Parts: sequence; structure tokens; C-alpha cells
Amino acid sequence: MGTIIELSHLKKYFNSPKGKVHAVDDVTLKIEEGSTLGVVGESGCGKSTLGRTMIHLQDSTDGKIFFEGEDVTRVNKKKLRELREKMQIIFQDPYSSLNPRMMVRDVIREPIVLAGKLKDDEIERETNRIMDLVGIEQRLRYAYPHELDGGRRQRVGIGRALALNPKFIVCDEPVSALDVSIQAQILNLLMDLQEECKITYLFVTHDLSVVRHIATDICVMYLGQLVEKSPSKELFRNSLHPYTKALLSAIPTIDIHKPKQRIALKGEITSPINPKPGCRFASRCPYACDRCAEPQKMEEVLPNHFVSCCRVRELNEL
Amino acid sequence: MRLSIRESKLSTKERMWGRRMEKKKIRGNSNGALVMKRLFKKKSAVAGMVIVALLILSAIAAPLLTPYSSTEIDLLNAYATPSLAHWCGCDDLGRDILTRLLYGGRYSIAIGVLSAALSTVLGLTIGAIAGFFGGRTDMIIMRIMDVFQAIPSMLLSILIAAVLGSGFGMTVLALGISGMSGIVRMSRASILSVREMEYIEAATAINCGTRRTIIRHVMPNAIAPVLVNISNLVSNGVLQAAGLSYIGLGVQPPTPEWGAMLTAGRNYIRSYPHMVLFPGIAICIFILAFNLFSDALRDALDPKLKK
Repeated sequence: MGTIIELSHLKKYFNSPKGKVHAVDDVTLKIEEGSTLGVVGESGCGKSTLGRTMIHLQDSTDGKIFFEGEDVTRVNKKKLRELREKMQIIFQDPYSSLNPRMMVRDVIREPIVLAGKLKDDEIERETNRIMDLVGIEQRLRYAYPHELDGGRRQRVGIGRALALNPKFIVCDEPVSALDVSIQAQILNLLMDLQEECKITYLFVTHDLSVVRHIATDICVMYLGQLVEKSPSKELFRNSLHPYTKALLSAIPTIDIHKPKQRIALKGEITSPINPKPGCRFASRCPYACDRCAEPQKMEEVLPNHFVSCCRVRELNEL
Repeated sequence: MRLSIRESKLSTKERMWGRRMEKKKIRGNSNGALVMKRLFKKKSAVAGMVIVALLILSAIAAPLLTPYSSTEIDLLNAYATPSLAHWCGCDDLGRDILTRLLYGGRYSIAIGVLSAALSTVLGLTIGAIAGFFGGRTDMIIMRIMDVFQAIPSMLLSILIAAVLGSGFGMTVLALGISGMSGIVRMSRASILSVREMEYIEAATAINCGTRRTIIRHVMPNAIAPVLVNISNLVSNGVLQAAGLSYIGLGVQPPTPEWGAMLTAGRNYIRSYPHMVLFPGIAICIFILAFNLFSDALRDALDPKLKK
């Protein structure tokens, strides 16, 4: 399997009155076809922005995006249309991601109509197929979003994303607005769809137990930068970056006999507005030293395990 | 617990039910048809529509309904109070007030509705552009609207009427432009809030063009507060047209027009109250009916109130 999407030094800055907000800063990564890359990090670390920039919902400030080996960083309108048919997004809040004045059927068929490739009866059949695929009962064809529960709404949102048979889908916290029992259903649905339709996911979330379930690889973001990237199992077994360790220690356990060592982070979060070069985590890192003020490099510390920390080797005795 | 897709696929029974539901609903462009259906279910809406329709019909059929002329002076009957011959009495020149009301409806209703329609079309378009594109476009448009709003609307109508001249078309134009800035402001505000919703982003992601996004996704969700204001505009239009006629910039006498009749009767309010009473009632009934209708229309357009 080849690489489906590749980012090289991708940057996305926003202008604010106080300066430039570095929402995504120098992110380099590859996603293999058919895999799921989980992106975790705390609120405001640029996870969603990363996803949205990748599928051209926002323009990147700098860096390159490759889709199926082709440079798609700057594309013309026609190419952008084609790209968007291959890259889709599932949103976090199924309440605000569906137009309240459009019926389920219309939401799902709109992308097909807009693509303009099928005739009327084919569109109808395709709509039905998608509805079956994501498990929405046919009787809900003419229902409005407010008549559905959260899980069904999210299914409609997934159906809209699937309607064009995309190859790559950004899931922007698709389950965090749902309650736990529904979360499992939606996650299973996403995994089944991946198997059936050979889709690649970028799965953005702050919920570590969710990402553990679905992701093949995980990258951890902190203030717009990647700090660690590794296969999912490896990350949970052997996290190397001090931030990842602190993040993982926050997962609650049900084992009462082995109380977990929580790593409580102290200190202020560095402002993402015009940050200084150097490790952004340094102000909260218990192991920070002088070298942390220099720009950090992403290094392959173990096979397939990348960490961006100058002290990673000495801290983990590698 | 793994929920496989196969399990979630539908049984034949469910499919049958779905199909039956489908037949119940209106085929084709079901959205518009559904709105109409909901509208006709509502009694106040039907009442409003019937009254408005009757007023319009009677205005059109005025020559058939009354033996009198609307403009001919008959000084013998000047100031005549309501009687069997003149149901609403006569004015200071002896013209039958009911007749003038019937003919006047032609102008008043047309001015009110057309000027409101003009303000709405202009206001929504400009407001949508300002709200949806934001940034500099928004700033420039809104500053221009500030200028429009800083001038009292009556004064603005006078200004426009003075520049463009008087008469029916010009009155509509003047009132339409002076009512526009309020609609711009209101539609922009509600579009700003809709623009931030994720379904607008979703529309971009599925290759929905800007115009289609505005028409299909933004407008339907932003239009409700504007819709209610339209009925205000209609009533304002009728009254402001009267004001313009009064200072000689609106519809010219002896053309009967409700507002103008109101202002003409003003001088005799103590001795002959019927001269203002009946035009007042006519304006009241028209505006009330129109408000009933527009309120019901807003409810019918809101799928959340579907019952």
C-alpha cells in the first residue's frame, strides 16, 4: 500500500490583533492508504486546523501537501473540485453540521447532485445505497435533522461525507458530542466502512481511549507541532516524549489495586501567538533544560517511532 | 460489541413502511409543497390570506361594487355622515368615502407591498453579500447603510422623491430604498451567525458553490427574522406613502389613497370623525391581516415547528 497523503512542513498561521497565531507549525507526516492516523492533543493545539488545512477547507500558509503523490498545495478551481470529491470531512457536532432545513435525503444526495455525474434515477439509487451503508432507515428519508437523535444525525453526516466515495476522510472529533453507547456504534461503523470502501482516515480527537480503538498510527500534537508519532500500540506501551507521558497518565483506569502515577503538569501554556523557537512544551516540562530553547527536530528514535525532544534518549535510557 | 453493517441493513418490513411514508408525503419538490400544506392548516393564516385577498379583489373590482366616482366632487353631500346611500359617509368635497377606499386600495396596497418587496429584495441581496463575505466588503456596505440609517426614513423618502419626482412608481422606489437599510442590517446579523455553522463548511467540502451555498444553506436559515419585519415594512409603506402624499411628493390628488385620505380628514377630526375613522380602519384591517399571514408563513417555513 502506498502513501495517500503527505504533508511537508505544513504551516497554517492566523492573523490576530496581537500577532500571528501559529495554529499548525511545521507539520511533516505521511498517511498510508487504508490506515487511520489518530491526532491527539489538548484543545486549541491545532488538531482540527490541521485536518481542515489538509483537505483544503482552509488555505495553508506554507509547506506542501501531496495527495496520491501529486503536489496539491496550490490548485486551481477545477482541480480543487476534483480533490474535494476525494477528500471529505465528518464534523464533531452533528447538531450544527446538518442544515436544519434540509431533509435527510437532501443532505445525502446534495454532494451527488453537485458532482453532476449521475442521472436522476441513479442519484436516487445511490442515495438509498448510502443510507443503507451508514444504517439510516429508509423511513427517515424525509425527516429533518431535529427529528433525529445524535447518533442518527452523525450517521447522516457520515453519509454525506461518503456520498462521493472519497479516499480520504478527516474525522474531526466525530464521536465526542455523542454519548458513550452511541460512540461505540459510530466507531464500529467507521471501521466497517473503512474495510468495505478502503478509506483512509485522519482521526482528530482528544479522547485517548477512542483513538486507541481506531487508529493504526497516532501523532501527538502540542501547540501546532507534532511532538511524537508512532504506531498506536507502541505509543500506548512505550511513550517517549514527556508530554505524551503526561497525556497518557491522564487516562483513568479501572484497576484499583494499582493506582496510577499521574503526571500533573505545572506552569503556563506557551502562547501560540508569535512563539519563540525551541520546544513549546519547555515551559511546562519537568525535564526542561537550556537546550530546549533551540529548535527541536523530529527524530526516529526507535523504528517508526518519531519524537521531537532533544533529551528523549537520555530520559528514556535509549 | 461490534455492530456490523449487515445487521443494520433494513428488513423488508421496514422498507415497506418507508415506502408507505413516502407516498404520504408530497412527491417532487416536497419542501415548497409542505410549506403550503402547513400554511393552509393554520386558521389565522387562512383568515389573513382571505382578508388580504378580499381587499385586493374589492380594489380591483371597485367599479362594479360602487355606483359613485372616486374623484367627482359633489358639494351637496360634503361632510355627509354615514347613511344608507353613503355607507361610510362623504368627505369635505362630497366624495363617497367607501368608494374612495375601494379605489384607494389599488394604490395603498400596491405601494405597501411593492415597496416592501423592493426593500426586501435589495436588503437581502446586499445583506447576504455583506454578511457572507465579511471583511472589507462588509465594512464598506455597512458604512453606506449607516449613512442611509442616519437620515430619518421619512426625510430620506422625501429626498428621493424630490430628486426622482413624484408619482406612483417613484413613491414605491423612494419607500423601497428607505426601508432597505433596516433589512440589510437585520439579514446581515442573522447571516453572520449562520455563516459560522458547520453545515456551511460542509457545503464547501461537498463543492457547493458560493451562490448555491447562500441560497440553499444560508438564506433559509437566516430569513425568519427578516420575514417578520416585512409585514412591518408593508404597514410602514402604507403610512409613509400617506406622509409623502400629504406634502405633495407622493401620489397626487385627487387620486384616492388611504394614507392621503387619512391626512385629508385630519382637519375635521372633531366635527366629522368618520372622515378619518374609515381610512384608519381600512389600513388597520389590511395590516392586521397581513401580519397574521406573515407570522403564519414564518412558522410554516420553520421545520422545527412541524406538527
